[in-house]
Amino acid sequence: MDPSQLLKGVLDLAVLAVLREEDGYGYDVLRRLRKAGLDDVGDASVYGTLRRLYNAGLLTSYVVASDEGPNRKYYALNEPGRERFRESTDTWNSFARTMSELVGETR
Amino acid sequence: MKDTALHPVAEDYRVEVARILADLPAAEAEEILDDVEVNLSEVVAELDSAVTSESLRTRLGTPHEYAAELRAAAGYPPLTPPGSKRSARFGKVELLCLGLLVVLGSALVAGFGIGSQDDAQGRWWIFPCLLGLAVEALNALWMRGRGPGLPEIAALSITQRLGAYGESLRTGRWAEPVRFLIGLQSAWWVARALIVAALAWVAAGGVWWPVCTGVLALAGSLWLGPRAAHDRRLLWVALPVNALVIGGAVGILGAGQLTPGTDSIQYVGDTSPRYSEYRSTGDGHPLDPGVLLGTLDGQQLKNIYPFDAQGRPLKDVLLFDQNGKQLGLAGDDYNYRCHNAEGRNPVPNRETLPFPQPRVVFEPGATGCRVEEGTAPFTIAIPVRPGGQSSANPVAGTVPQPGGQPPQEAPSSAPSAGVSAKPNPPVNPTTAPVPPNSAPPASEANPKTGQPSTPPAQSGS
Repeated sequence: MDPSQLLKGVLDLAVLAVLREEDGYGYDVLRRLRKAGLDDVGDASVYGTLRRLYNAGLLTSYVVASDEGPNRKYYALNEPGRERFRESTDTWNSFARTMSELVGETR
Repeated sequence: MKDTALHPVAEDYRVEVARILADLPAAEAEEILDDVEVNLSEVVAELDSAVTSESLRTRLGTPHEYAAELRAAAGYPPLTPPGSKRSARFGKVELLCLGLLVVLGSALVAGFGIGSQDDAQGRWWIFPCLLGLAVEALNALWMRGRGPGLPEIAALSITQRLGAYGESLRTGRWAEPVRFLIGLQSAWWVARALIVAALAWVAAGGVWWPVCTGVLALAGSLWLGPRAAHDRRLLWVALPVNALVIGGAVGILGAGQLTPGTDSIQYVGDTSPRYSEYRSTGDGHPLDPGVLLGTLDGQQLKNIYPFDAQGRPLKDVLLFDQNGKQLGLAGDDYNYRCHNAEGRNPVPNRETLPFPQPRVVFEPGATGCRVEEGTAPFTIAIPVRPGGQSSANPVAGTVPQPGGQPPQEAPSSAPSAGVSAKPNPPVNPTTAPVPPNSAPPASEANPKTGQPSTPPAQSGS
């Protein structure tokens, strides 16, 4: 089973989860996702997801100058973002429970 | 700041990605490309010295894959296949831009025409006006139902490049003066209304037209200015208006318009607009100020001496143009510069006088001027026209008139018969009129008509 296919549906939740802990810029979010074990997440997917969540009004952004290269655009969760995170977490938990039961039953 | 330039390989990659995202709204594409740039610089830092086009592609996929992934994750519309994109290459959006260019051009030309017009006949600017309005109407039709941001326009690569250039101007080395100029924007909104009022003054004259037009223009300009910055559709109005105003300003300044259109006088040849109002309100004479003879061949036209076909001088001749307007003489000498002590005009305004007009001797210090009868100070030789071929211009013999220029042909070149050195005896019609130029041989065929030319009726031989 291709993990990247599974990831597509939950990347929003994963990104929201990472940003809930701490604000982050694109590459930082990517690194934290990979560190958490989501190795297959693509760079472009993370950047695209951040843009979409931002455009949907779930994130705010601010720019921080960097010594090493271009300015870093940090993203932060706002109140609608936190609300979305709670909803998505509920959805995910019930979905995961259902799937676990289903998979556990058939095993 | 962006002092750390992107690695060339990464820059190529970024450009490729940008090309694939070119259809996105400019602001959004800019944002996402900033992210892409950060992403690339981080990956370059990770790869360190091993950065090659291949290693970059192994890590991120091809630019196309990367951009497609970005579009999918960001929820942008999927990339249109290249085939369908090509077919829509010159669609409504491009026509809209072309229309804007046409309107801009015609507005500029029309503005210049209005600003520089010098008489009522010169209203050719109506044509660029009509062209601009017609194209503008088409633009408005196409604009219907489009959002204020005009994402289709913003997606054009030219728009994006312009936008990026504007951004670099605002943030680059000239940020200070550029920001200062941007601050002058509201002053421009007022200034262009003033220019519109000036154009109305040039076009229509008077007071009410310019004032009313100016007030309306000011209201419109102040309404339009701030909105055009946000509603890009209004650029299709604001930019032509600016072009019209700039063209008009150039026209006004270029033509040195100091008098409004209705009071200006068209002179034949030389002009002296300083005196235009002076003359047109001079003494209520019936002469149409629009028809004044000024100069002939660059020399001041001082008088006109009419003769009939037999060479007899005519008196009290009035001249009219094809519109039935009386012709007069325009000169610097208003009423021959003759004003007596009471301030009355001792002689009528010369513009109203029939031809030949009297010669007036101006005596400085004296009260008034001596008027001499207007008789030609020369006699003429009527040319014979063999087959209508020779010059139709009578040749003046001698010109003793003071101040008059000698004729270009020396008197000796004209036949002596019919020319008298004495001032103004009527030419005897029976004396042989001789062509000023040597007549062609009688046998020679007229090259114009192909018929044999008749010998002169009264040959001198």
